[in-house]
Amino acid sequence: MAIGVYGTVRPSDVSPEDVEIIMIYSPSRDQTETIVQKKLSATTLLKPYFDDVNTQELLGGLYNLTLPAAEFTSIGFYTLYLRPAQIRTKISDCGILSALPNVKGIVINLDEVPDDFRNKFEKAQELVGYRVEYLNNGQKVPNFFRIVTSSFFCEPIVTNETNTSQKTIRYRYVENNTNLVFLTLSPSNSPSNKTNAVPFIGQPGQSIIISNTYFNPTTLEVEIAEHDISTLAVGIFGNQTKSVEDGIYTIYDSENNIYKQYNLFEVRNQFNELLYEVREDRGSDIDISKNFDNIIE
Amino acid sequence: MLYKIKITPESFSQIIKYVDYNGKEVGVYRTVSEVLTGTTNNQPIISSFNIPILLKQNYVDFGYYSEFDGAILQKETVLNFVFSAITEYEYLVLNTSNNLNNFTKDANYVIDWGDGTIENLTTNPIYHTYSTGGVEYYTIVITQTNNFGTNIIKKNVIAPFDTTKVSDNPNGTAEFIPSGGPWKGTPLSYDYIFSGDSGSLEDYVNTTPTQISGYTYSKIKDLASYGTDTYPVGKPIYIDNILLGQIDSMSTEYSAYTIQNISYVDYPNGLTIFNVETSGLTTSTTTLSGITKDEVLLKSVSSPQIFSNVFIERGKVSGYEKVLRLGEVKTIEDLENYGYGFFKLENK
Repeated sequence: MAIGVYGTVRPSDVSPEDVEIIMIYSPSRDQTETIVQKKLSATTLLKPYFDDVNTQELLGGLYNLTLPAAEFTSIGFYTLYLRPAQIRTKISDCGILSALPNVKGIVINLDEVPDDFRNKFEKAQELVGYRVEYLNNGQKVPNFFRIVTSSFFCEPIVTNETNTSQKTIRYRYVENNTNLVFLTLSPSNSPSNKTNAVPFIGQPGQSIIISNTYFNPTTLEVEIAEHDISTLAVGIFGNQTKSVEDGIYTIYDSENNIYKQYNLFEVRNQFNELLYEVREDRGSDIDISKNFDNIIE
Repeated sequence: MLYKIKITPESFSQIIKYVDYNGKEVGVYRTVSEVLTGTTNNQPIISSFNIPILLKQNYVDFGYYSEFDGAILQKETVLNFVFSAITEYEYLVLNTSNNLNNFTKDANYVIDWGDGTIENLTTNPIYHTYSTGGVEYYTIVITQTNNFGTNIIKKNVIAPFDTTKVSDNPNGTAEFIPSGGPWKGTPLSYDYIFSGDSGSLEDYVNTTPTQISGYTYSKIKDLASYGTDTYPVGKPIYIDNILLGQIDSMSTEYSAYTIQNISYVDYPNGLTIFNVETSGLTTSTTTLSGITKDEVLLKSVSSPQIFSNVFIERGKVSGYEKVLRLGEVKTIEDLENYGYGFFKLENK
């Protein structure tokens, strides 16, 4: 028997508007109390690369994350969490199709959808593949979701039930734009071995989170540090000068740029006995007359 | 996946600032914090820094697509018609409904030609002439009334008849209005599923035909006639009363001919080039049918178990079907008649 081998991972070509970026800052690894959490604008920060030859074509998968310096001002650890954008809305109704009563779904009222995401609902089938997660009393139901298998505009039909005076609302698809969208979900059918076990797809009025599945959530840890191996090498192997007159000790990099400057001095007691030899960082107070070319010429 | 990125002095070109000393430029290191927060001339030293990242998507296409085995196929056997034209304005409608079923054999049919003419469908086929003049669009509606309710099927036509614009939906739209039960009087659409997809077929049509050309073998002998003039120029060649093509021109440099709307040119060196126009996938060449996605093995659906070497997949049950026990179906003909296309027989 032949084995058909295929991959299930592809470079994502998600639009930045479908991405959410959450930044979490911690000044140190052991810091737990002063963690800063902030949402960043993905449409501003995330830019796809385009093919160099076919310039209208996304390179696919590769994105440039432009991090604003104003948000990354401190030494420490910045964790960036990229996840599919969340559309928070409510289920208006759970119903069945009039023409096919065994097709169940949820009905979303466009007026309950945030403006930024309403365009997703205004085109048939645009939401197919989206994930629906449910909230109970403001808490997300863990490990539970449904997948949208179709989305069409719909309208309710009121029908008399036989032998009762009840009215039952069912839905039928319509082509014209309405404010109601019928989403079928998977799984929504009963298992054949227990036909009365209907999978939960939601309740009218329940808050839900609809999110795309266009890419896998990912995290970046951006560590901002003052030193790296090259600056340490400069400190050890770079040119150095000591001005005997004023005690300024200067370290240079391979291009003889001034890397650090120190004041060297001695601390003595009243009997002129040497107590300490001190090296003090001058910080930003750099004496540029101590530049290397000036000294050795 | 976790990206770990370290931003250090070597990440920034602006880590060195240049200051003037007696007319000479002296480079002095900044700290990383100064690069991120400092300013020069009231402008930030840097506004941002870039990190390329890779976003990936895992796709899992659970379930499989199959042609819907319920109402859409049912439509073909309960009520349908095809149409054509005798002349530009005279239309022909052939009722293709299955009149052998118990529930349709006594049904009444009424046709609404869309121009105000409504008549009983007493002959098959039935003819109708639209008023001549400009281009008009009509909707032909056939209503079938049977003991269970009313079936309605609608198809759009254009007069004068134009084969390139027969209909945007060759299957038409179909409705069933039950005469009893909880859905009494409610029009139920047969075309409820994936109608958006059907409508979007227009997106794939190439409105400006493109040329397809290539090399092939000479087919000029298909157009050969008996007699002394073997390849008469401009004479249509028919095979079984169907136009095959004609010789377009003959010269010492090339022979040009057309067979079934494909142009061929034969050159003396034995080279034959064909040329044809295409519009891609068009509504006139494509029959639309709804598909549905069957869920598999995701907590709620289990696949059928097969205990015999013949597997019978039964379609959806409708109110139209007469109830037979499977044991009463003794021959393949019985099976086909009983199932009217519902059964798929497979050797397992």
